[in-house]
Amino acid sequence: MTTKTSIVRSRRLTSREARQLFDREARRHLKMSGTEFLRRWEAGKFDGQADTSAVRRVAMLLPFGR
Amino acid sequence: MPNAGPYALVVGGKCSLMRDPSLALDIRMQYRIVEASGDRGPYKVTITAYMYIVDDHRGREVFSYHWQPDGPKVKFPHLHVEHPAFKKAHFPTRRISLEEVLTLLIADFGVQPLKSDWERVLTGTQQKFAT
Repeated sequence: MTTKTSIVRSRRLTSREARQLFDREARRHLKMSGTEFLRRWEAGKFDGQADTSAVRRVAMLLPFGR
Repeated sequence: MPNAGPYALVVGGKCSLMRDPSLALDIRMQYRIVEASGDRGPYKVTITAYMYIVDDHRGREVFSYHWQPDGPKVKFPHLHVEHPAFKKAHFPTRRISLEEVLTLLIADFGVQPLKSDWERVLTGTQQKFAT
């Protein structure tokens, strides 16, 4: 669904598009797939890195990846 | 009741801001849908986590406001300043609205607004945030 005003256009992603966006962001910031990020995140394997800018940026998008 | 979430919202990946040299604003939010009464009911969106990141023209982070109460470490709202000496510091803040970040960028960083009545628009939506 796309909603447009004179300045802003918003788009609701399908589940597949949301997962693809999550995957792209994980690859862009951390050079790993979204699936790998999710696996490591849920296993608590970002110890010591969880507070880096790159991990935080991807973690904010977890609702897209799950 | 619709599916309450959480949902994620990304604004533009990175929004390029009109300024020389340019800055980019990366907005990431999580929100839920909750029941509400009065004019804003029967449902409204409530922000449950945010990240407002300002990058310079080379893509390097300058500063960022974070609030991730479900995150692994720091639960309170805070500010990061990308200075080598303070990179790991979490400067405590109260909850910061997107309107406050946009006002800061226009008023103190020289970002050119698209609308001449930006102050009225941001003040109006800020008041809704505060209620």
